Amino acid sequence: MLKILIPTLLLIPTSWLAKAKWLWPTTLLHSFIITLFSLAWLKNTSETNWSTLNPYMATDPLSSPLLTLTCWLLPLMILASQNHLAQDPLVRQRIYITLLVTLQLSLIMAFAATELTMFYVMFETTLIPTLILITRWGNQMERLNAGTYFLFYTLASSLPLLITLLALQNKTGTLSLLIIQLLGPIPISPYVNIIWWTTSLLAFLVKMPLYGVHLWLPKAHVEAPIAGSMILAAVLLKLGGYGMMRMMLILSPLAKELCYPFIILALWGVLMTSSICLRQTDLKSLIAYSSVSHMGLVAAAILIQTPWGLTGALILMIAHGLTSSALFCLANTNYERTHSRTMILTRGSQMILPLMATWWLITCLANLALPPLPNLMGELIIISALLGWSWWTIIFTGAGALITATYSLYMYLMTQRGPVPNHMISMNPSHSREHLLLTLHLLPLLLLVFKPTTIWGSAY
Amino acid sequence: MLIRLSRFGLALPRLLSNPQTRFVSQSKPSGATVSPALTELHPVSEKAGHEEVSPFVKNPDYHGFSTDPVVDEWNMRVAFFMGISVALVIGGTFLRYLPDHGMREWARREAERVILQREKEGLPVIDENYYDPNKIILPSAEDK
Amino acid sequence: MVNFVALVREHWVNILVPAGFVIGWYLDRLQDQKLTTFRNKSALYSRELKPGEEVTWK
Repeated sequence: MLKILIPTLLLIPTSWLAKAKWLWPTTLLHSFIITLFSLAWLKNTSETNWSTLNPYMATDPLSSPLLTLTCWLLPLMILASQNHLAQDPLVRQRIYITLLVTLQLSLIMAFAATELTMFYVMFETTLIPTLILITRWGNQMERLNAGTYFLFYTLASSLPLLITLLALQNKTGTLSLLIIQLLGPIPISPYVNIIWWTTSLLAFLVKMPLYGVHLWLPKAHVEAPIAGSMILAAVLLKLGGYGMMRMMLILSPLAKELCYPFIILALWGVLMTSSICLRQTDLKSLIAYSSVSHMGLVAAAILIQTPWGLTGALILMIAHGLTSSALFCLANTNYERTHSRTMILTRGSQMILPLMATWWLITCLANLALPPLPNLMGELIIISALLGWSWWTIIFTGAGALITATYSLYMYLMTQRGPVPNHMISMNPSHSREHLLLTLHLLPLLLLVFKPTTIWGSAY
Repeated sequence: MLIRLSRFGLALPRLLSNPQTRFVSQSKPSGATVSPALTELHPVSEKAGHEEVSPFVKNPDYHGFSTDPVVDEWNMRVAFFMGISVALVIGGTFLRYLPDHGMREWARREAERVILQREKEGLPVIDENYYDPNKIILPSAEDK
Repeated sequence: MVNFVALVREHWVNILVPAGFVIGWYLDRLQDQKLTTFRNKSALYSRELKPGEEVTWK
């Protein structure tokens, strides 16, 4: 565990001491080295599922794919933000890289924590660098508003969680995940039980986000710079799902009736947010709402707590992490050229950037879950798990899948086809950096098809 | 005209703080000080907004990393080598050929074979006893 | 030679992350040793080592 954490920590002085010329190549090189070592986490060598132990941290098949995804995202974020930071002063570039590295550090510690208090602290720590990213490097004035929404939604919903954790500590004497999973049901009165269930999951449901408390997400996504959007979509939302899976372990005997409204809200959210996508004009906002709709499926799958549901949720989280991050990168390449996120104004890019149009097509197809990709695997497993739970859900999940396909193709058609507007005639050709960036998003997705067990979690 | 001036209002004080000699000499005494100031301001504000000069003019092999051609090329080499050759190829090979820990995959395959065999022989698919009950030697009742 | 010195001056920061990896590896080894302190020490579950066996579990 420290094998990864200490190099990541030393990436901060590296970014400050590197020569101005070599700042980006150096940090990129080292973040890739860290990613390479992080792949070793996926090697599961223990019978109890927990490996690479130290007194505070451990990985298991549930957290290791998410950890590797976190490590994979850092070099990609560095690649993606290189161009739009080129105009910034040097110190600010260094601060930016430092923020990204800090974010990765706290995310690794959050995913690997075996102690729920530490998980909570790290969960909150990730807010700070993200908030600075959004409010400092966002593109418009609305970024301050978005930052406020982001901070207060997440913070307000997670304070009850802290109280719950303290109460749990009082009741059981431990918060270690390794011990807590062996405890029996915890005796508390039914009324407290209801409150307890809600408070433990609310923080993660807001972070996911559940439909109804999702308003912070499109704002934060739209206003954040490219790296902020990428890490938000790819990893920070998954922190909510991961936390839910962990807390469900403790809550499992009591969650039976209480989860109904939340499952319904999540499934209804899948329908509603994907319908909202159909009438979006703003490209980044559309991608953000598509994240909400995918995460609704994940939330429903986690809430029904079947092994299939948990496996499907993990698969969809990883696959959606890579896909949505790729979509944000594509939106950013458009934005860097036309300085506009409005889809009507960036029509007909297929004629101008044909290779980019190929990436758009592949990514949109991945987003609507094309057969070999893990997106489809995740969605199918979730849909069948939900179908096994109650066959009414097929109405929501089926319609959701249909609308997902519709808006993905709508997004593709709106941005790539149609007449080229006059103001787009003189555009930069696409750079090899951007092609590399998208390859590095989509190839892992494709490679996961060949070894899907790496992201199946511990339940299979 | 006034509207355009107000648009560049932010750039104006910055420019005036270090006035160029060229700028002063060009101003005519005829009172038309506004229009030459505007023409002077135009290129400045364009540069402050977004650069329209293509980096390909300076470096035809531009890869999108840096304006310096040497750094650009090395950055491209580092990114492609580490991203594709090392992380994806070596990392992918490592993950694909990880040993099957605890023989879980093998257990799954064996189960499929056993089920096929048992179905062919008409036996029940799974026995209710995990161990053969004849093999377990229980302590007799008197031994307590 | 001068070229080499210049190269070192330019790129010495590249040593930081590999050094971090080495330190982390060393610390991980220390942690593992700490966690195995009580291996086979329990009065209830300790057992004699078989011939040729070094430790009860790794």
